[in-house]
Amino acid sequence: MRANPDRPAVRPYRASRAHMNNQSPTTDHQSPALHGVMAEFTQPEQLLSAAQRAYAAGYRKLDAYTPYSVEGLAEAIGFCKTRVPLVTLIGGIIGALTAYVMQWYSAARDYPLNVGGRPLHSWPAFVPITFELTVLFAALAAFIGMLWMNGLPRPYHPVFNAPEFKLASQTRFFLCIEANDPRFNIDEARQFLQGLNPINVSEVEK
Amino acid sequence: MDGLAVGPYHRVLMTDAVSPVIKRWQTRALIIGVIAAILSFIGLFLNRPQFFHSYLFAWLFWSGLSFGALVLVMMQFLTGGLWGLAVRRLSIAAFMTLPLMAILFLPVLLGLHDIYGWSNGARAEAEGYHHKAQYLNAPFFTARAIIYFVMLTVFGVALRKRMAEHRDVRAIPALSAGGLIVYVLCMNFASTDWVMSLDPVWYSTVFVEVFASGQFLAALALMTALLVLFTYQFSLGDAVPVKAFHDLGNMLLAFVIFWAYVAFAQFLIIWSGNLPKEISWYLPRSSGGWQWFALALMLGQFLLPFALLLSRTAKRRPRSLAIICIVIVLANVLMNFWFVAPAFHPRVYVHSLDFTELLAIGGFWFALFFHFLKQRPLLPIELTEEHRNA
Repeated sequence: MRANPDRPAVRPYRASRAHMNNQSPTTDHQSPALHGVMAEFTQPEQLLSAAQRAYAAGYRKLDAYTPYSVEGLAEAIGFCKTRVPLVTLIGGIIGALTAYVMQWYSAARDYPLNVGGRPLHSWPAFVPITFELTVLFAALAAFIGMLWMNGLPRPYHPVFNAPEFKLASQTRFFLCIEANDPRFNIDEARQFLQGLNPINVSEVEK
Repeated sequence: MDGLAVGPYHRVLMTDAVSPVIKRWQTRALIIGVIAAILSFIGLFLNRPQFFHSYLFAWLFWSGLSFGALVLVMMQFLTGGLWGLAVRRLSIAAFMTLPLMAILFLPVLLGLHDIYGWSNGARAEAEGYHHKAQYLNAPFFTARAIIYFVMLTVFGVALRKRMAEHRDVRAIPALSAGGLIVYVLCMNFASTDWVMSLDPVWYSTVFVEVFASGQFLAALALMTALLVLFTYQFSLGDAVPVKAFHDLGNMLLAFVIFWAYVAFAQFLIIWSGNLPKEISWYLPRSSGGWQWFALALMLGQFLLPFALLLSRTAKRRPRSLAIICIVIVLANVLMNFWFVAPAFHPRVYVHSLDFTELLAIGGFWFALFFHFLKQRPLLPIELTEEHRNA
């Protein structure tokens, strides 16, 4: 749900924690090779209340993974407004202008065409194309803008190291407290998540 | 039950606290209605044709709100959703004005000769008209109006009864579905009778959608504006969740687009064909100054609300949403005026009767609306339950 621009897109698959520790010595965090701690739930309501409690406990770098949209979840993990609507609006305006100017220029300026004795600049005839291109440009802008702002496509993401994570697209609901959270402490986070009654809590390697 | 939700909700439940205020509004609306009706009645003797021309316009606007509110309620029973729950009680009170609108249709029948060319023989000679006399004649016109009102009132009253008494609630979706089908069929003929037949030669099969979506849009906008008013007037706090306003804003956006879509589709097809029989609707409505009304309508019932409703902030802030709603309602008044007035005046002509009769019918409409509104809590209990669960 959130992009992390500071993280490189591609990492070696399942680099072991020990190996990573040897390569880059620990600085401030407990474990730089850790993506976060992940809790697994069976019900969306459990996940929602877990997310709300994690946010209330002061965790801010949270992310949730669900097979379908759970209402209120985005707000619960502190998801703020995105710029996708703005990009969509700009795309729509550019589409409308492109279509109208193109039709006006071609039918009234560059190659004046008399259609049924109507004025060369007949705005009603230009509306359908203007509408279509507005929708097309807005939709493309929304799609490309969404991919770009999410940092997609991304061939590797550490959350897939969590056991059974593939169930996030089927029947399970996951909540991850990420290691780059300023309040993150691996034991506290683990204990906190255990207290939320999940079916499993695991550490996710980078 | 947390304190935040209970406090305001109890205030809504306690009709004792709310109903005196609404009763005062009811009296005021009635006074305005009576004064405006007396002024209009004087106008009847000064300028008889104008009285009926203005009357048709004013009646179309207010009856449109009643019909639109009925659709709103029936649609909400079929689809569910927070948006409809928030305005359900207001909409039920609004469609209960239907019997009044039926009685107020009488002056239209009395002024039939002054309003409709087909009834006084003036247009009887027009080419392509003769065979329409089978349909457009005073007795059949009257009978049809009675059928529309009786059928839709029966559906409305049956719905309200079941809701109020919590009886046979399982029949409500079926009633709503049937009611919507009957509504569309009725409006198909009603829009032909009341508006399209102002020009007995002209016809358009998409006009019913322009007409009906206009009714729905006006009702939704007025109900939303009133919901905002009550939220502040009775300090309902968060009894109406922000999401309900957001949803209502989205519904308004969708219907503003839909109205513009069907209205423009009709125009574009007729403009492209450019046939004498078809353009007779648009010619008087796009010349002699009426083109500025058309432009204002495009702005007020499409471009302006469309642009504003794109903003998430505008939809989630009740005050700004209410302002957009008021723009839509005023544009809807303008739409009905633009439908009716150019049929009688080739150049822009606004008479004082247009205002007094709008106020007169509006005063009575609001008086009856407030009468029904004060009998039941302003918000249905499901609203707060949904709110609390969410």
